[in-house]
Amino acid sequence: MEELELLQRSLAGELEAWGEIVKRYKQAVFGIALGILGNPADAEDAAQDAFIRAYENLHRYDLRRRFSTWIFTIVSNICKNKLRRERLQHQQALDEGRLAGRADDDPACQALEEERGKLVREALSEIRFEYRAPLVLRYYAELDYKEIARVLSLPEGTVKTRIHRGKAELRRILERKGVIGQP
Amino acid sequence: MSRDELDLDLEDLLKRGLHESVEQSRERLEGLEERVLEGLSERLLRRSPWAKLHEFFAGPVAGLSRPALALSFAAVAAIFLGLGIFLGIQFGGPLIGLELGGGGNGVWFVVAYPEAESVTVAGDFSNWEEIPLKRGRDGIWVLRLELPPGRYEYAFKVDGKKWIPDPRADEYVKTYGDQYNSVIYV
Repeated sequence: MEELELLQRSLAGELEAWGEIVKRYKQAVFGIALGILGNPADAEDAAQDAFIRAYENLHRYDLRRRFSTWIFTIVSNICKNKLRRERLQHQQALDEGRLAGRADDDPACQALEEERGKLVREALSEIRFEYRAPLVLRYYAELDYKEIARVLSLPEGTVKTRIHRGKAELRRILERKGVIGQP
Repeated sequence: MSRDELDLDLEDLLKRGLHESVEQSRERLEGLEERVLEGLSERLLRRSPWAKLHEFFAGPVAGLSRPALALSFAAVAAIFLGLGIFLGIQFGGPLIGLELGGGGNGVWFVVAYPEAESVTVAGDFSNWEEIPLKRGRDGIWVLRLELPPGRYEYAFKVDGKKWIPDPRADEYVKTYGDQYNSVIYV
């Protein structure tokens, strides 16, 4: 069945049609959430939340526009808000002296963290959301600059700058970890 | 190695790393559709009737004017209210069931019964064999069945003894005594 028909049926209240939409987009939405949040359990929650919110706000979606842009916008915003909440909680914990040493300080932890996927996720988690989200949308979801600009509500020029700076920052982190060589 | 080569190296690493991360977490994607639909069913049941009404009239509905819609809604609401009162008198109990319907051949059976230990559904689609519903949060019981198109009679059974109809079924048929079956059209 065509995507447009599925969306129209979903708008008419057919949950099964929405289930089919979820099936088609779940991997992309989960991948974006995982790239931004870095944690599979959080990414699963974010993806589930994104599909629920999208369904509940489907009457606001303009059927002439690309659905992928809309659902990617929703999941990116969910991730952004989650990271903001976590940053606040982390700051509160630091203020209260509740946080012990970071996982990075643990040699046993470092020994386990050898796989590429994990290394990339870790490196991404060290850079700001402003750079991380465009990188994930570009290199995981394979969106072009124009689409990323729509998803993140940014000018196209800003997206290009952020991807450029994000890559530079990521390179520095990966070089420091010895994952990629230096020029 | 030139800066361009390093860039390609980094982009490749990023792509492969992100895709491998998803592959390693693939089990989290299994059944996500069902979890989303269950979450939606629960939220739909929790929302107040006024919120549902507001959403209905706020959304675009092709081919019908708002006054016509309002009139149609009032007529349908009156029928439901009358039926609800009638069924309330007939059956009593905490009946706030909802059959969410389905696209294609999938049908969701949803009933809110927080006090129940078990809820099953039986109908002509199962030769009146009972099929258990799954308990979700807040005592909402959910079951999804694949049914071929057609007309089906069914009823919910609570705690293995009390048969209850689905107040939001398409229609009802009297069976014997004061018993009613619910009817859905798929």
